[in-house]
Amino acid sequence: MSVLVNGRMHDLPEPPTLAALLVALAPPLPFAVACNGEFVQRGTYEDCRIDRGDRIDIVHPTAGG
Amino acid sequence: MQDQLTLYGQSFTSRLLLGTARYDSPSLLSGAICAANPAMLTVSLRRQLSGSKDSGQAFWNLLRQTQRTILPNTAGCLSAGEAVKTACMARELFQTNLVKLEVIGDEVSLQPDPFGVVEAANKLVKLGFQVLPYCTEDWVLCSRLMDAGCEVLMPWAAPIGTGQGPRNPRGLRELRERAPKIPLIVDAGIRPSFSSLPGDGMGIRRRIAKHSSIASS
Repeated sequence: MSVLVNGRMHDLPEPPTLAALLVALAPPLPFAVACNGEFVQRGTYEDCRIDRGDRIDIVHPTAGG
Repeated sequence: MQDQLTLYGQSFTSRLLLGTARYDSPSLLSGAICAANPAMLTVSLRRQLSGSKDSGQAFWNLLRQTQRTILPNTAGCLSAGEAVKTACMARELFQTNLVKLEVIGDEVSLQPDPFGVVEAANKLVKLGFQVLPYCTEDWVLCSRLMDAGCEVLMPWAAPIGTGQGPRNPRGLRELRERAPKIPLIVDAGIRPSFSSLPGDGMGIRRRIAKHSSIASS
């Protein structure tokens, strides 16, 4: 059972929530998250259940024009 | 022309927006910010899980230290939905309602998608964003964006990175004439040489720096 994070497969954690996934991945701070193309507000990660095949985007600030 | 630029009620003494990409080092970027004294810094988002954690943190710290107004963009988005999602993530990261809205319709010229940008602007304004849409000088497109609630427009001079200068100076001039009050920030394709820019009488102040946009109001 796995999810797609930034285009790469990762194991789905237990419990299957976005919060647990982020604990497992420990992305560098700061970051923001979307699940299946929908923005997920910080503070709601515990409530965001994820399932096999879900697409998670984790983004960070970077230089741009 | 007034010296002060006002965008969504926020006043700036500079009319220059400075991009933060393609600098060889953080210190060079920091020096450019000090030298240019821009109204805003444009920044972006990228997907990353691993790699150089230090470089991302260093960039974040640099942004905070400059204490400049940050203008996040939706670069790389090819649909309205993707742009809305990116804008929402940027708002949470940078704690600002400002967003430079980019929806690209052609991956060769990076020309804005007029349909996508209008669709995204309508949604973002309803979500409380202060939208600065990257667009062309097309009057119908610009009027639809103003109808959506955009109080600033960012028409291109020419395709991104070409440095051609205004391809359609007459169109830009007519946009200025038909929408005399809205701030126009000419973005992309600006010619690097100050002296060689056409457009006398366009009502667009000519001030150029690397990776920059210039505003007229």
